[in-house]
Amino acid sequence: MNETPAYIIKSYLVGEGLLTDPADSGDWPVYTGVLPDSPEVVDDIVACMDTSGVKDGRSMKTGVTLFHQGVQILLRSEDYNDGYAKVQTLADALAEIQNAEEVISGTTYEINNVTQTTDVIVLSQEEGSKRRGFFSVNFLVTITVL
Amino acid sequence: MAHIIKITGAKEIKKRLRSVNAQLSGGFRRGLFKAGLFLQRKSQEVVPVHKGNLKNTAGTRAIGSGWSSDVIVFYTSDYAVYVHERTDALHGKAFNLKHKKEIANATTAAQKKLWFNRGVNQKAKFLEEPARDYRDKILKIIAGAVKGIK
Repeated sequence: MNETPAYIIKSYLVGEGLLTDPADSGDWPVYTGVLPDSPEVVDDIVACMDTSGVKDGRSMKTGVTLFHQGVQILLRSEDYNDGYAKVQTLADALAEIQNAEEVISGTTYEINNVTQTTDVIVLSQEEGSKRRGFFSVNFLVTITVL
Repeated sequence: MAHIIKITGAKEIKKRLRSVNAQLSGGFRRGLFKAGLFLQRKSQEVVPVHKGNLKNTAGTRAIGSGWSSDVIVFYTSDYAVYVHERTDALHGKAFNLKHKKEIANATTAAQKKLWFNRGVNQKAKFLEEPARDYRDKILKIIAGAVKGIK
């Protein structure tokens, strides 16, 4: 794979219209591997992070080792309830995936399955004056290159 | 506290062992607890340390009895989930590189308490990652304890 699982999931969520590319200056921009915090970046943002996966044995027929890669959705929001609702929407959208195709830079990836491994985890509100909410939810994904 | 990870496979081991000999339940509980302690130890090797509070709040507890036993490995610190889930935060080697200057310039005791080289293996997901990396070993510990293998 040329792209990381988190990048592929990010691309899928942007394609579904649930999140936007930061370059488009829309609502809920999504980043990969980083959750930026600076005056130029809006408060309501999402990050797709790559986390550890699970090795699930080897196919005796093909010899291919099966991996389920870990992906985490990390969300920061100005309004606590909006953040919770948004992360729940994202989790629901990912739960519906069944062999969804995603084309990135000429490569077609098939997202076979996304399994949510935790409930929405509330990481409490930020200290200081901004009091932004943080949420995370974790997944194991199965992605194949077509 | 949020439920972070559940190790799959222990149920299958229990089912098989139970079908072989229902008297092995004591060994199963012992095995689960040993596996929990093993996971706690592996987690302690990578948990981020600043003042040591988070690391010191780790624990392993067995609940239930016999075949209904379960084991929980936990951190009771109220910010444990925050540190565990904030995968964007810098720990270990990345922290040392980013704050190289501050660490080098720390001279007073107060500065040295904040700016010091962190253990290179420290990271977020300090419980989930060892649980996934050592899943095979954890399941072997459980099965081994039931069979009396050390």
